[in-house]
Amino acid sequence: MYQSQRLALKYFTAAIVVFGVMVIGGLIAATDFVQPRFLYPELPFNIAKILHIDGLIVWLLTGFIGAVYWFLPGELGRETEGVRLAEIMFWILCAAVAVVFAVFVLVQYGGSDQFAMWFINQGRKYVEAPRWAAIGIVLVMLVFAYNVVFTAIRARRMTGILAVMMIDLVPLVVLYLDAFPVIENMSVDLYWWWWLVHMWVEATWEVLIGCIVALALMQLLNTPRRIVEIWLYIEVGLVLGTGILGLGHHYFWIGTPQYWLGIGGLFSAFEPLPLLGMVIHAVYDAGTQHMKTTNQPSLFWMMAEAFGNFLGGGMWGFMMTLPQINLYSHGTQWTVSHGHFAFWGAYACGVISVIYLALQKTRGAEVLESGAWKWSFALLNIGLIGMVGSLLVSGMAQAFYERAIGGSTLQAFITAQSSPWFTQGMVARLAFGVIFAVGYVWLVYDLLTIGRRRVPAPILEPA
Amino acid sequence: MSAEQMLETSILLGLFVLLAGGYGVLYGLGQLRRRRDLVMASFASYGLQCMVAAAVLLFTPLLGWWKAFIGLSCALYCLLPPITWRYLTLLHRLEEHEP
Repeated sequence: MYQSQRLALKYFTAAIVVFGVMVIGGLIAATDFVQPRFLYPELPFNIAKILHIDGLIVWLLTGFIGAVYWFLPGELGRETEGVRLAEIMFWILCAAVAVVFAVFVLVQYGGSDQFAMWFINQGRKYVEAPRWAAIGIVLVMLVFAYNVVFTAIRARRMTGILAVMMIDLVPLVVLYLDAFPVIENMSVDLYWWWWLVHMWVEATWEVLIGCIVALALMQLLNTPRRIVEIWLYIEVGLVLGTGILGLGHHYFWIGTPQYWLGIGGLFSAFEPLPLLGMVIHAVYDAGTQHMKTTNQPSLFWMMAEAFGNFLGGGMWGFMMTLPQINLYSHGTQWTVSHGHFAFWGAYACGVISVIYLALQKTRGAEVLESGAWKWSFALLNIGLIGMVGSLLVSGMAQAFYERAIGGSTLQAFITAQSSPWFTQGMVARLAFGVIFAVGYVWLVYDLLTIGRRRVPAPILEPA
Repeated sequence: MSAEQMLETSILLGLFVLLAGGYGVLYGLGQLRRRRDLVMASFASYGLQCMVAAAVLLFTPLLGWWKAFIGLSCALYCLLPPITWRYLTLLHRLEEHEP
């Protein structure tokens, strides 16, 4: 095994640990909606929410980086260039994440001054990490980019997937720099902040996971390289074509010019198309193999990726993306429902699938099989779908009572928050969140144990 | 747009995409398994999608521009799963025949 792949396993371990932090933060935040003084003032809602959403970003990002370190040596037939530096950066990243989370929990907030920005909290959603940690993240991403580019240069080899990935690394790093400027005008600040959040999630991350899935499909289903590369080009073209200007669907209530609403609505209305293409491709690939592979967990998670992305990103997004509806749904629990489903489908399932692929090779299992993976798969997906459904009901109640009827006044806000549709949705979300958390525990157990016991390879009957 | 219309329109738009997905998936499965019933079910899904699109055009207060977009998308989408499938199988066939 390459050193790079050993490093990948560390990244996967870190990803799963931070996934756990995200789940705990989410459970606390969900409980706060049902019992508003739960853990207050020791761990108030805003801190739990930060742990939840920053945890999400960190675990997915570490999962992506791990996946690339895993596939890179195999793709280029050599050890990753600068892998020792990458290893050092891994430990720096882990230490930084631990310190930042500890500061969020123990210190929580500071004054409106430079010290707070540098050492406690930058104060911008999703990129709350204090300035020193944000610089550390940039360094980690730069080293990661160096590893990928210089490995290809040293190997004197280039593949279509790697070329797409390398091009994608540029905006991946550059867009994060958008987390740094301090802009006092809130409209201008939010205008650029959405570039970071949207372009990462609906453009550069989509491309990166597209590359990772392409690499995974070649191992998982022996899909020929030429096919995955052509599909990657088509899907990346569609994702970028629709996703970049889809940015406008976030530009509500922040003072941006009105033309953005139409542009955002139109382009994001096309966003289901690449997602549907992925679903049809997944049906073809899995169908030709009759859903049979030596790594069932990875295949099922890959299928969940395709369908979850389509439903969460495509269907849930299309329900609220046209401006006349977005006007009301924007920033309600409805959006939260869409966010949960889309992140899960587009990214989380893909990362879990790749982890199972890596485990099969690491543990030398001819067939990767266990009973626990089915439980974790079922519990996590049932929990997620239940949460998403509950949030949708609550969000629709908010859009209905608070926005459309009440006109977004404070009284309308209170009316919506006390509506049984909203409150019962929040209780249901918490219940399904607990199911999801149990699924997470099963997942961890399975990842620790699967493949350690020999399972005989299936005897294939002659055709 | 009234509060009720907002929810109704949104649900119709969600169904529009769900049925489009149903058409694509069932069509693909039907072709793959060579099962006529699944292919017919995919066309039924598309038929329902057209009905949803008609409901959006007739009963929702979306602006004319968006209604035109939905109508046109629905009409063009008819061709998308068969074209995608044909391209996908052609690609795989070419790959199999290449040394």
